[in-house]
Amino acid sequence: MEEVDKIIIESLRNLNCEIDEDIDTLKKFTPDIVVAAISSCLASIDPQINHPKKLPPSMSSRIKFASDLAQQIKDLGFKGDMGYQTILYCNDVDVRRVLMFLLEHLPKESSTLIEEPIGYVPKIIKQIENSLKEDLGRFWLPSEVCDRGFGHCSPIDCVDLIVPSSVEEAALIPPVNLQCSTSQLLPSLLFEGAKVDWKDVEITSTKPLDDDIFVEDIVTTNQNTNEIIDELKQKKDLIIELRADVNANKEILAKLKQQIEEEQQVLETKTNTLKIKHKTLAVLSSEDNKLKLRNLVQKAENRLVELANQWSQVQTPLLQELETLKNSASLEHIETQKDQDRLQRLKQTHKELVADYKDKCLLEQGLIEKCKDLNSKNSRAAYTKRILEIVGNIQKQKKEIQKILLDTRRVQKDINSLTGQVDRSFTLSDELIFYDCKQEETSRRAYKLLAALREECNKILQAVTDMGQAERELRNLEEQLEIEKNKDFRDKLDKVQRDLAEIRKEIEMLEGK
Amino acid sequence: MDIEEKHKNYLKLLNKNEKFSDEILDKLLENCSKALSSHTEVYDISSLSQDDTTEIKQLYASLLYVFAQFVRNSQSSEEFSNFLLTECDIEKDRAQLLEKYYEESYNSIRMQLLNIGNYLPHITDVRWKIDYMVKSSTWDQSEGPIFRVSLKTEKFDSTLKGPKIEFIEFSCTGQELQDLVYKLKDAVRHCQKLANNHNH
Repeated sequence: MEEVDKIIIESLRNLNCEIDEDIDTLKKFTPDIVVAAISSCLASIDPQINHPKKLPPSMSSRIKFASDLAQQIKDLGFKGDMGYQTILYCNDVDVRRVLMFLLEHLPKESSTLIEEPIGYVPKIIKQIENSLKEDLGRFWLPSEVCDRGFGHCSPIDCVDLIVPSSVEEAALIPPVNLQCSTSQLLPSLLFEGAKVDWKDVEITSTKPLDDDIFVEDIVTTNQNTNEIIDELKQKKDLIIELRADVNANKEILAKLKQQIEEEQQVLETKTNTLKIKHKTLAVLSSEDNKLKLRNLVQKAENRLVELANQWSQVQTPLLQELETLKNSASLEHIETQKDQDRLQRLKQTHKELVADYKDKCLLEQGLIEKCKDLNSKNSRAAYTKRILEIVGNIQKQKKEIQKILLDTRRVQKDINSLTGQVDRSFTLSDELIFYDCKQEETSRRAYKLLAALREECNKILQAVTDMGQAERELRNLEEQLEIEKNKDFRDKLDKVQRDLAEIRKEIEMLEGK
Repeated sequence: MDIEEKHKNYLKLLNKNEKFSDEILDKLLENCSKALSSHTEVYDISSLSQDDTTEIKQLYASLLYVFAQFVRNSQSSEEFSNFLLTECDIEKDRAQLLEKYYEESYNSIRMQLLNIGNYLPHITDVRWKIDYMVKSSTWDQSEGPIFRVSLKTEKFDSTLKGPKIEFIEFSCTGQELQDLVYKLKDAVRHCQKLANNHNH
């Protein structure tokens, strides 16, 4: 029963019913807690019922309140004994039965989910239904009061809106909302290109009007406007063409300018070289100058040979040094290579370790979650385990009962055979002695004694069975006594008497008023 | 609903903070909601920017278009701001400003959209009288009661550019009037049924 109590208390706590932490069985429930539990159950079964979760202070209103609750529980279909006494003078058995009944009737969570329509058409239908419902609940208003009533509904009337794409255009074209009237703005924005000449359609569709002049008027103005529009369109096309021409010409002009600049540069370089050549020719024309130049060339050649010798002297030790340095550099290079290899290997292992660490972390998290899951499922597993144990126990008890039954049957059989034996031996001895008693006086006395003996024996047997019965009755009574003691009727009786006294006092007070 | 790439590109101009300050944007949006609700505008768009008005005109046109298109498809303000954030990459505070204006002008734009299209004349009032013909020049028998009904209707008139009041007049017998009333009641009941359906 403790398990059941735990389940009940747990479910009650889930219903936001305040139950102290130290209460773990229904035996510890006071009437206040019972009332709180029942009213929170009723509230979640039917949200429209809203009972206070406390008993009222006055005794008579207490009884009224408790009978109300009892009536509602009965209305839900509770079959057992239910009245105000069950709530106010509660015992754990009745309370357990009532609470189990109420918890079974709690609405299932899945049923509270509202289906959301999916898809475009169902959504639209739902919106239509919603707005219809809203509109049906609204007051009727005359159309004069409405802001722009149905009389303003006009057929689609669009114009082509132009959005500027360059600075020059922007200077000429006004913003889109000024390109049309306010009533044309929305259709022009939304139904671009859907231009219908409603005027023509209307004129042809309506029945012939009385004043034909009016029609002609409209037609001519229509034609006029159409002509003007055509003209404007042509001009616009012309402007666009001219603009394109201007642009093309500009490009050609720029190209030509560039070509001129390039050719001027070529000209400058050529004049420069020409000047230099002119000067050298002037110098070379005299003989003296030629001699001087030859000498200079000779000197320069000599100087060159000298410098080459000097250079070879300087170069050899430097080359040797370079060689040695190169050797040492290659050695160092090898070492660094090795170091780098080692570093790379270390990096690799580091990476592996990090990946390993991450894997482990993930595993740990997964395990923690699993552990949590297990914990949450734990109570359920425990309950099933407990139930299985109980079933095992019951089966064991059943076997024992069977054994005891067999035992009692055997005893019964023994008793039956013994009584049969006794009867038979009595009749046998009776016959024997009766046969003898015609001849002998002593036999007659013996027969009498035998009869007396038989009677006494019967009495003893009767007494033994009576005793057995009495013992059984005694045991029954003792059990009943135990049960009654558990219900502690004395306390409850006291409480009832106290409540009765209080009610009497209240009645007196009311009478006094 | 698809918004053209052209408009998306124009809307991306919103991210140009140096060109469109918060003040200018505020004025632009106010103008936008006023223009779409058929009210006169508060500010002059061309004067908002001194030098180049190209971008401001482009942005304005696209704002008007997007507002109108979203209301036409009855999109919520969340969906509107979602579109701005994801498809046009507009900064969050700008998108929130636009969302605010969208929410404010939603109902009035909707009203304006309702006004587009051809509708049957809208009945605003009814006048009636009951006649009883005792005798006439062509018919010797008495007849009646005859119900003379005149429905006052409003209809858009293309020459007036506004509502025009017309009367639809007819007369009927009691039986015919009963038929009419039943038809009207049928229509009302149908609406109520539709409205109640959605509870179950």
